[in-house]
Amino acid sequence: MNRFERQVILPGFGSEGQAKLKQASVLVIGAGGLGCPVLLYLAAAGVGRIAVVDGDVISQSNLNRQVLYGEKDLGKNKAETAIRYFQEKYSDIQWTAIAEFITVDNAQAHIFHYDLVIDGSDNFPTRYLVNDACVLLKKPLVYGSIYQHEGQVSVFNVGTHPCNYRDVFPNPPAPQEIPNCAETGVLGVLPGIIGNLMALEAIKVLSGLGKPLSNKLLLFNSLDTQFQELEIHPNPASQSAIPASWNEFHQRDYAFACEGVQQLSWNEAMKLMGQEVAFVDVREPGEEPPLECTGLVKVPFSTLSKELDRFEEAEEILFFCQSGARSQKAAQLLQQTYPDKKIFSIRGGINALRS
Amino acid sequence: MCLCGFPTNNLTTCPLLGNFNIFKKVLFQMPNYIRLKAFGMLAEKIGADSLEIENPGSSEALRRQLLQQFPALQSLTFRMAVDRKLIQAETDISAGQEIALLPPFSGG
Repeated sequence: MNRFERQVILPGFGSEGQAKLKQASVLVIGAGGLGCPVLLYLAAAGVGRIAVVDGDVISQSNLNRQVLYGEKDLGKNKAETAIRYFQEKYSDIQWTAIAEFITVDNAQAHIFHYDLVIDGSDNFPTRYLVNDACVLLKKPLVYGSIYQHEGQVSVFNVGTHPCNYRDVFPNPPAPQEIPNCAETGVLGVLPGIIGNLMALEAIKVLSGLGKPLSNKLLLFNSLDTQFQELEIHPNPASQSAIPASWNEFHQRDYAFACEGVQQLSWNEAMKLMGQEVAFVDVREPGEEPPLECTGLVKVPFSTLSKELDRFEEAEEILFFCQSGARSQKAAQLLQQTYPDKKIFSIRGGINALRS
Repeated sequence: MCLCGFPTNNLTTCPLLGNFNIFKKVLFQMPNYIRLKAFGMLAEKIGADSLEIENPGSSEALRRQLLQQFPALQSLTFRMAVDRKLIQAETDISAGQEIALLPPFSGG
């Protein structure tokens, strides 16, 4: 008797299915609302080798849905915290924590070593980056994402006429279209459901059980508990949007670019410091890690529009946030109010500083 | 007067084309409606997640009509599915079909 007995006796799965899982390796990108349930069930099912990539740290507002973490984990890296938890729980699995964000520079090296990739990220730049890398490597990719009370799930790069994310949405939406991460709420159980569906799809692809959601996009609405399935097909128009080579992939800037906003790297920004520059953190209170330094102004994005007169004196303004999306919006907003001031947004935000 | 020239006030009583006339009457009286299903932020902007509207005839005509009726959609990316099949080019829409309006989600 072993811990997999109840699935080994399942008709259609059996010891063969279990052996396939044991030999399989999975890379989970993002150990957040989706990544947590995915990891729980892939580990319990006995996938042999599991790695988690996440450069983010745990904050209090994560705890309603990121069920692997507790009060004592605040401020700790998500990938490392998740892996520590699982190493104690299941010693028969080979665990790897990668405490950084996935980028054009590290994607190929990380993804190459795994049989299947799970996209549990929470932003479009990462989703397109992961999609394109998986297309280039022909890696099965289990996709899931959520918005308020709805979720989408699919399986890419699997089957005879495989689809990928760009067959559904060839190009990322404009930054202005996307609500701020801090603005849209979510009930923890929704990523729980979508993450479980993603774990199920991964197990199906790896073990050969049932029919994975390839060439299908599953939609779920938690308010009326409705599922709907859409048929998707390879889209010739989207093919051109994917980098043709790794060289092209490495050159691609996946980060959002708001029209008319000047972006600076942290290095460039540091050179401006100390001069007559307002250095503004537009993150909401409680976002991790808090940054304290002299001359730093904190104006949460949610109240920025009411505090525009605070910037009257400054000649140059430097905005940053967690990922570089909100700071671009802040820069746009300020530039409209003060067309003569020099206003910048720091590319990649705090996340770029950490990785 | 019937199509065939038979003098009758009630087209269905024409001895020649009576059956055809009944068919024609039913056909022309059938309401030409389609069902829209909006997802995510699109449902918020439209104000409903399900809506019955008159059939504009094609996916492009529908898109134009939606953007005009709901200007908030103009700045949003979305794809359409006709009878649960994501479309890649302009597609004819016929009465009774279900059109899904699908925005990208990024949350996780």
